[in-house]
Amino acid sequence: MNAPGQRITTIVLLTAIAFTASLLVARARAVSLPGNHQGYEPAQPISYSHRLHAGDLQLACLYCHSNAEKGRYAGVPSPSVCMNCHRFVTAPLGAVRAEEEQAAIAGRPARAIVSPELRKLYDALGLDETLRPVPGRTAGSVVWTRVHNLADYVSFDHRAHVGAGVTCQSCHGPVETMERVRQVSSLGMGWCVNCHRDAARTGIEGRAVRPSIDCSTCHH
Amino acid sequence: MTTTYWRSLEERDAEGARPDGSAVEFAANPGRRPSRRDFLRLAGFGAAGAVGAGCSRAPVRHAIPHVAQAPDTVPGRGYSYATVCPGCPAACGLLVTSRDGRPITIAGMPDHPLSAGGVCAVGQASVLGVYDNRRFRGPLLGGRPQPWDSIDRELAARLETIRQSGGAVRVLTPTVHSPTLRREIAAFLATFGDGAHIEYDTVSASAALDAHEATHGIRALPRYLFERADVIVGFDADFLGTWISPSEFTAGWARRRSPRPERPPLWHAQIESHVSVTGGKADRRVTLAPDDIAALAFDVAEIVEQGGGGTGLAAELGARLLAARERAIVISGVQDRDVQHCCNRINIALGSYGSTLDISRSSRQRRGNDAAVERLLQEAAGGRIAALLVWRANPMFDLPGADRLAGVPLIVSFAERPDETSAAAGAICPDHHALERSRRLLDEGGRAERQARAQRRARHDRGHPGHPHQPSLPRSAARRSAHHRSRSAIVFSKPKAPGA
Repeated sequence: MNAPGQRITTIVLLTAIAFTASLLVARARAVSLPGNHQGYEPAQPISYSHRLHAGDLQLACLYCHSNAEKGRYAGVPSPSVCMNCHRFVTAPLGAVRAEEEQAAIAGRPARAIVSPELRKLYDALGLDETLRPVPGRTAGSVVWTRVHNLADYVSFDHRAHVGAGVTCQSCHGPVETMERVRQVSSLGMGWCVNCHRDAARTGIEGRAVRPSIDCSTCHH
Repeated sequence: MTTTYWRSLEERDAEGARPDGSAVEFAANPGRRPSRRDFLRLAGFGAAGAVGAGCSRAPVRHAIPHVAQAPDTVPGRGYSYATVCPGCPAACGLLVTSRDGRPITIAGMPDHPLSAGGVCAVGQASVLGVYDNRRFRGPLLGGRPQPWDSIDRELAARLETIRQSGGAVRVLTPTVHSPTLRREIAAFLATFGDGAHIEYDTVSASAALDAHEATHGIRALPRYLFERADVIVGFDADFLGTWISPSEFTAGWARRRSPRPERPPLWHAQIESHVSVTGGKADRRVTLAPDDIAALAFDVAEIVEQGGGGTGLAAELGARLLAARERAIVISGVQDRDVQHCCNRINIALGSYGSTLDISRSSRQRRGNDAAVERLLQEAAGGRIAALLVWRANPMFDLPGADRLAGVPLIVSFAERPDETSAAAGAICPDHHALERSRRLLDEGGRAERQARAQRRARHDRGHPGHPHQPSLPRSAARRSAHHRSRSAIVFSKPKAPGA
């Protein structure tokens, strides 16, 4: 085999290796240790948008997750909390207005417009389009998929953190910009301990705090 | 598949095994030794499997909120409710911590008049039964899972046939101290021409009940008030460990054991044929063979009735008892009517009834009748029973001769988990664990509370003639509060002592 042929082979091989390495480097960011679910973004039974509710409409986190300051778990709101607003709001305003215009043009009474996602909520509660109970149906709940899961040997208490003034976003990330909730932080032990160390040094919002890094603080 | 248990070495040998039993009990030589290649193969598969399992995502977990969150509850926080222990018929008061509707911890109810905050190991462990993986998931008919409505129809039809033909129906339970459940069973049995409720205690106190029937004309256990005693003589009655109501007796005994200036120190003698907690705590512990205990009890009864005399241990016990008179208590855990009768004679001669023993407000903690159980076995052997309903009892395992029950045409078991009796039953309708529906276990106290509430309401209504009986809540609110009550907020009222 002559020299130019060898050189071409070498160049092709090196290019291939570089290309593979670049792919692997890009993928390496996604490789995580077992048990780390950073980036977990499961589909939910109802495609509820935190961007709309917490971002655009600026609902307080604690309006729905009201147990975060009272209990261990922040909790998922029961459908009755949804119904505080969605008893009246059954579809985006634009869709309701469009139906009213159509009805006015056709000279008929406007129909009740229910968005397909809210339809699922009303179905779970056993309600019809006009939000009256369907006879023979019992009200059920919505089976949400948990995004943030901790191992059974870790005990996390929302009360202590919310009470100390830790913002929701410092662990859960910018939820108010997410259409579908994603696990932003690793929720690993190193991540927890780092924050506890930093907070001990800098305080939270100017107040001094004494977060423990004792094993039995979380493992008990 | 049924599991057979050997109850004696003879039974084991009778199975046709070699006399030393080695051929059946232990596996034979496991064959060739695993080679180096086998080892590497297994290690390789193991490593690959571990890597594969480690790479996968954790299983999807769900979060299911309540349909309507009760306003004063926080998910994940433990709430305590008061109930009565399902472990045995002693019915100690419990404080059960329940989280998200699941009982997780059991503690004694400190204000309970009987157990005074005590709870024994059996009671502590009873919460584990709620999470037993072997529990039946639903009813079975002839060993096959059936929906509830179809098994209901089937059993109702078969019971109706028995009702028409006048066949005998027997309900077998342990001691039932709940008046509500007793009434339910009685009402069910009253619809049959020949129905009977038989109480069967695995650890029976039938001899003591029979002895009281002979001496007092009432088949009941007295209440044992150890806190009033100056002298306790126990003949094989492990009342601090296992006998009838150990938590209650321990509380009474401990109250008396604390020294008080105005009373003489407690003297406690324990005559027993085995090692027990009670013997270890006694001032005088004497070990005797079981038949010698019977003879000693008889001697002591003679001495006490004659006002003194005798020799040896019997004389010592007699002198102590006669010195304490009605502040003495003599008890026996021996399941023999004559020994129990001796104890009653001693207690009567000393005047202990009305002092350390209370038969006028008798205990309901054991009511099982060995004679009735024996009659049941005879009836079953004679083919005279059409249907047998077994609740919380396992006679096939713990009652000698219970295989005679297997011939009953319809056996209905309410067992929570497979046992020997449910294996013989044609229909299995699993009951809830007692902590899952504790309202029924509330005893007389609960009823008294309800009556008092009804009377208060009636008085209130008389004062305000226009006031409706039920405040008119919106329907959803009423439903929510009913749901909430049934979950965790069971109102506890001090129950009266059994027999009150």
